[in-house]
Amino acid sequence: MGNIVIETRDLVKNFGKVRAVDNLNLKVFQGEIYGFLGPNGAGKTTTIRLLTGTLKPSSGSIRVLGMDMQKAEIEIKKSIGVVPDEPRMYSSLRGYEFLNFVIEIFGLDKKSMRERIEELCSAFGIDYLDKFIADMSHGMKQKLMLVSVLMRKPRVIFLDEPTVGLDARSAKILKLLLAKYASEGCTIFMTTHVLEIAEKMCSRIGIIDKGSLIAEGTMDELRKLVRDNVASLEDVFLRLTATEEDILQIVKEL
Amino acid sequence: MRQLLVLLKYGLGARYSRRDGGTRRSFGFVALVVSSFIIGFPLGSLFFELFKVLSAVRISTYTLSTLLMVQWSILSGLLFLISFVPSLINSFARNDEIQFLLTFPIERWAIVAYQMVLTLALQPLTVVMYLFVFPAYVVACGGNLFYGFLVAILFVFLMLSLSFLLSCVFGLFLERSQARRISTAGLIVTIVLFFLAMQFLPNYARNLVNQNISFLSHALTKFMHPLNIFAWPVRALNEPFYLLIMLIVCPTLFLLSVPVAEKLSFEQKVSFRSSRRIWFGAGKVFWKDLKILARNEQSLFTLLYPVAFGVLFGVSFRNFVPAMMLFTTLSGSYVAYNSAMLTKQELSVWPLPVLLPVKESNLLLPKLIVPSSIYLALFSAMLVFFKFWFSLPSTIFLLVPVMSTVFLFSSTLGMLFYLKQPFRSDPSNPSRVLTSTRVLTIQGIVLLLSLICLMPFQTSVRSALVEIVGVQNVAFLIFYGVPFGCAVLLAIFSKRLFNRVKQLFQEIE
Repeated sequence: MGNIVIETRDLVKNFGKVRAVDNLNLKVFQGEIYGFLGPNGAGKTTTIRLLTGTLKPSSGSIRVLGMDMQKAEIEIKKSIGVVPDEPRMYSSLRGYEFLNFVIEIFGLDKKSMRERIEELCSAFGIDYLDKFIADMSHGMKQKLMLVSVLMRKPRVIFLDEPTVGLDARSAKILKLLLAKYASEGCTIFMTTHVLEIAEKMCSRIGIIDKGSLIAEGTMDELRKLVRDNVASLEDVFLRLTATEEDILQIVKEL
Repeated sequence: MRQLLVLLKYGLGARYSRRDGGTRRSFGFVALVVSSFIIGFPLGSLFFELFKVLSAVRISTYTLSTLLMVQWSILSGLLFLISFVPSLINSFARNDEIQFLLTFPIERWAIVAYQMVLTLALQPLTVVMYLFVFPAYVVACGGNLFYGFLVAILFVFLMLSLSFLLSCVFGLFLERSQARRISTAGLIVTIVLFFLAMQFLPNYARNLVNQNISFLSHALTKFMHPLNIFAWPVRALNEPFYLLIMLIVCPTLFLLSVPVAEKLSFEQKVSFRSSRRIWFGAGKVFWKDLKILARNEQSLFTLLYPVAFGVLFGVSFRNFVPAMMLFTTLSGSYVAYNSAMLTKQELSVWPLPVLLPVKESNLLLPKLIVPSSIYLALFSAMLVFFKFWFSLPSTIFLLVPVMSTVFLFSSTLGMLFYLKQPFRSDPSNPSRVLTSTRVLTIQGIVLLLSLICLMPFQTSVRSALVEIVGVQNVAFLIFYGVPFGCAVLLAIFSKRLFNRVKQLFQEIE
């Protein structure tokens, strides 16, 4: 295992009386593709928002690339890329204007970025950069958001449900690109509800439920945890989140 | 600072431009300047005349115009803080743009400063009230207009720096709903004050001249106290030391705000209320729409604004007809806005509305009935108020059924215009559901309708009608016939428009 790139210690996030993240202790290593899974409302998106500095923790600490989030929020943000679940961008900007905005905010070199943008756009089949963002579909916006992150080649990439809205070709390219980046030392932290993707792509998987990390490890380690050597990630997930029997019971009663 | 400039370049560019087909046209800035002049110029001219008269009355080192100016400075400065600071805090939470910007390496103070510029552009009234009055004071006192304008701008910066600090501090703990309420109240007080100023200032100035000198001298000493920051621009005209103080205080306040801004979480401060009942029973569209309307951020403002103006006009002009005309015109546009907003809500979850086992008319009718009923209730309340205030006859309540058709008609228009728009939503400004042209069209139509329906209730018009017709009974027939005839026609037109709305709704893909 490489260096620790993402580390949380006793991380807690409360929204009023609701505890969204409960004493989370995570360690993600360099070059890993870490899959962060959990049922709806388990705290996945809140965790990503905490790890990317868009939310402040109620208690506990976060270190990304060896830097403390409380002390070096801006430095961390310069080195990471975030693809949120909902691609929110300025709707009255055109696609290329949005990319220029990102280039200027990060203070990047326009010339080298232009080449990189062309490569990525041709890979994702983006030929609509002069369209207004308001006129783009969810999938088109998602691809634009991906380009805005991938063009910078950040050291850590956080993706929240990255394949939602993508066509099969783009989704495949994204998966291959992420695997390539990881092999080059980039760390990927992603959430997904598509368990097949997580099973195939992720080197390690963490499962969160009601704000707490209930299991973590490679696929083999997770299988050992449920004492089933041939279990799929779906089986493991349902057993660990104690929902498989509930589901069977519900279906039976229906 | 570079980050702030990039934010302003792209963020303001995106916000203050309009997509028109495949092109984009800038319109916001010009509209802002023009509307500022429309509001500010008459106010500045009014004050200029007053200052000229009052500057002739000297009290120790000052004149009476100084007293009026410093009072205005305190009033507009405080109103600015009351309306601007909560507005800014309100913008911190549940703001998609801030959440998006937080994923970038942008300092939080830059995000606050950017939000401050956006808020200022949306709420320029108090600044305009000051920027036009202070130079008028300077020129009336024989000073240099350019210098006066410079000092006024510096004072605005002082207020902005103070707001920046206060917003950061209060933003750490103030709940969004509290901020929104204070902000709406502040805004309405400002608007009412603006109109009151236009109405009552000449009398106030006359009263000032008749006051006894020792009282005025005492008041001036109090108001011009060196620690009164609102008096600094007035003092700066003769004492450059105060100009220097303002130049030092502005950046100091800003620097003090930066560490506080970095502590802002931009989260919703939550207070939990126990939910006693689920009254959204059986998925009734009516209750759903009422709930959406009640939770809409603009609702409080759109309800209070026409009432405040209506009452103000009624009391100022001592006549209920122009007041109710103003109320109806403003309400008509808000009824249309609310109906369009409720329709927008359905479209935002498309195709869910057409998948529901609800008939189209049952889905669409509440969008007409809910806003119309609310404003009709307000209209009736206003009539009750004016009936007792002016001792009016009970026949004025005949206006209620007539106005119900006016509101229904404008509500249908709102839905129709919204569904006809090529760009039905503007994510950079979610509260904007109808274009300015459409809103003006609705206001024009409702003004005309209220004129037709209300004018017969004007005593002078009634007498003139009796005189022209000659026969009192025939005159009375016309007097009641016109509004009711108009109501019948409106009901027919509304029905037709509603059919067109249903057709457009069916055509949505």
